[in-house]
Formats: sequence, C-alpha cells, structure tokens
Amino acid sequence: MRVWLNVCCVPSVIILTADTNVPHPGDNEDRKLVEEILAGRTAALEGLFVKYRERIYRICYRVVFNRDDALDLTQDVFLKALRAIETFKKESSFYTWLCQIAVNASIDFLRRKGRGPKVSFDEIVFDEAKIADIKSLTSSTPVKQLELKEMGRLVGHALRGLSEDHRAVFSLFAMNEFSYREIADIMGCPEGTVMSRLFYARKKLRDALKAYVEAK
Amino acid sequence: MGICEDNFDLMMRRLDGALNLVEQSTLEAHLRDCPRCTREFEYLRVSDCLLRAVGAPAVSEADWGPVFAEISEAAGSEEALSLAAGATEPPAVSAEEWKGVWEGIEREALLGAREEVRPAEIVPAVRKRSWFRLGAAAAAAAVVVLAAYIIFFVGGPRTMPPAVADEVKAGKGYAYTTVETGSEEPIYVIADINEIDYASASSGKDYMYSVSEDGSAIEIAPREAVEGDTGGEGPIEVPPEPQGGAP
Repeated sequence: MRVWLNVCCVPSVIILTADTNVPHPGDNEDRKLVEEILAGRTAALEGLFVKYRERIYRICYRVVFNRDDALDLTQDVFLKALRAIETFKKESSFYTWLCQIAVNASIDFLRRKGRGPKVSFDEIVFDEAKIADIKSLTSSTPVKQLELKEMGRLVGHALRGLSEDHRAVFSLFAMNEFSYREIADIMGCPEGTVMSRLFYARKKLRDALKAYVEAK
Repeated sequence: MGICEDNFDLMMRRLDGALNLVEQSTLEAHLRDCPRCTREFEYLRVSDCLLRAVGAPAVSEADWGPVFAEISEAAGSEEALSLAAGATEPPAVSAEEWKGVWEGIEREALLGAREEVRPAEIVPAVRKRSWFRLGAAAAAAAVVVLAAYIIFFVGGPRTMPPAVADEVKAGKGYAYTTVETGSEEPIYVIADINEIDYASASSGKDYMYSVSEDGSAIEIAPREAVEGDTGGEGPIEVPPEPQGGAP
C-alpha cells in the first residue's frame, strides 16, 4: 500500500515510504486496452498514449534534457511498447512496464549519443508550485533569493556529473509517484542502489548549493 | 567532527523516510544543538526539493499531433498490426510437408494404431493458428497414447529368441514367422519399435504387418495365425504377451 507520510517536524518534506506491489490505479483499464490492441484493435493505443504520453515524456526529458529528443523518445517508447505488447505480463502494471521501456530507451539514447557536453542543461525547468515550498525550508537569505534561472544552473551543474543510470533513477524519483522499491524494479537494480544513487545526486546538488551560498 | 559525519548519513536517510524512531530523535536532538548540521540539513532538504521540482518544458496538443501520427501510422502498417495483434499466421504447410510430419510421428510411435489413423486420412491442417495448435496438441497426445499402448499392451523391444535364422538376427528386436494374408508362404517379421523399413515390421495387439519402402503397410496376419516356423530350423518361440506392463 502506498503511504504518504508528513513528518511532523519537517512539514514540507513529503516522504514516500517503501511500497508493496499494489497495482497502480487504472491498471485494470489499461489491461482492457492492451487486450483490445492484442485483438487487433490498435485504435485502443490512442487511449494509452493520451493517458501516459506526458509522464513518459517527463521521464525521458529528465534523462536527456532536450525537449526534441524527449519527444522523439516518447514516440519511440510507444512504438516499442506496441511491438512488444505480446510480452507484457498482464499481472503487472502497464505504466511501470512503459516506464521501464522509457528508462532503457533514454539510457540507450545517451550512450549512443555520448554523455557529457553533448547533453544540454539549458532547458532545466521547474514545477513552480514545488519551488514555492523550497523557500520556506530555509532561513538562508541567499537561498531564499535564488532565482529560477540560478536554481536551474545549480541543478544542471549537479546533474551534469551523473551517469545515465544515476540520471534515470533521479528522473523516476522526480516523478514523485514511485516508491524506491518500484524505482528499483523499473531499473532492475536493488533498492539500496536506488538510495545510493539518490544520495549521490543530492550530495552533488548540496555541494553546488553550498558553494554558491558561501560565495555570496 | 565524527558525530557530524555520522549525522550526514542520518540526514540522507531522513529524507528517504528510512529512520526509526530512535534514530529520528537522535538526529533531532543533534540538530537542535549543532548549527553546522542544521545548516547542512537545510542544504540537503533544499537540494532534495529542487531535484523533485525539476520538470520538463510543456508540450502543446499541436506538438503531440505529429508524435501520435507516426505511432498511428506504424500501428496501421501491416507489420505493426500483425505484431500488435498477435495475428501472425504461420506459413502455409503443404500436404507433402504434413506427410513428412506424420512420418516423423510414426517413426516415434511405431505403427500400432495404424488401423485407426492412416496417413491417407490426415487432412492438411487448417491454416488458422488455433487449428494449427489444436492439431499439434492432438498429434502430441496421439504420440503419448501410442507409446503407452505399445509399452503396456505390446511390450517394448524384446530379447531375440535363440533359435532364429541369421537374416532375422541381423535385424533388431524379436521375430515371428507368419504368413502374408492370403498366402501360404511363411515370412519373417521383425518387430522393432524404432525401425520402419522393408526388413522390419511392427506388431499391434491383434494383428501384424510389414511396411514396405514406399510407406504402404501390408497386413500380414492376425496374431493368432502366427506360425512357429523358421523354415526348417525349428520353431521360433513366440515371445509371450507382457502381463500388465513393459518387460
């Protein structure tokens, strides 16, 4: 069961506890659409596309950090899913399966393209509703005064040093809808690896933030 | 400062919601007393929130249009449709090929039940995938039933009786002498589970027959008509029927 805890002394930090394998809402509906596709009614694909395109795009985007590439990857993910739909295990979640394809496609894309300088972080954008919470978390004046552009630069600096696998874990984490167990399942790695990769990403960003604040 | 280093790990785990109550109280007590760790924890919380807040540029409905159009086009193509629908038809199988399949089954299963299922009666399988599967399942079941039949009612390969002519000994299995139906001439019949050729034959429970090179079967005689004769070298001892199982 998915449980959201609001820890009493850190009210703004939402913590997602370890999850069990409860199906995602809408899984039954997804399975019906998959059945229709398997029966040859490929129009049912549109239902799944409209439902998941945005989320898949976001996952891909946060790995490759380029809008056009993320759109191409989203298209690729749905095509791959269509071609492999017979291998989808009906007892599992279609969305999780789709995420797995998205993560693998994005990682492969980066590996083909070559990581590092070829990946642009110019387009780092934030969910502004979540950004509003950040300022309430700190008493540090420089942090309170951080502008979106500056935040993007700091985050970009931290993410630039991450490997494809680290970035994929970060991307799923930033969806704010998966437990560590689910991220581990999607990535095909132990839960501890997920936690250590997030540890590393946070630490990189913390270092960048600290250096920025102390330089002010 | 060792204690602060230890607390860095606690802070990380706190963000993951992985602290037990004791660890949580320890960390909170430390944060109250240590301004340095309090500041560190603030940085970490802000970092965590920043990572969670990373989004993606908006995509308009107009931008999604071409993306789906290509998916839809691929889905509409014959290849994608067949893949998606699982409607891939197996390649057509000719009557000749089916005959080959049947011969393979025969080789495996002896010819004990030939009377019930003759090659000529096998109709080429319907090309629908479900019929193909049904046919394959039926063939497999027939193989199992025939094998069981042979083992339990006819018996497997047996030891050659001692007084058997050399030409019969050259074969594998065991031998009867018998007469072809309608003929007075005795012939040797070697019963061998694993060979089907002119020199060998198979035995059913109530009849025996020989198979010629062109695959046609000649029924030789009912078992009761088997003669214990080796062409003047003394009678062949006809092996007894197995009682309730393979010898």
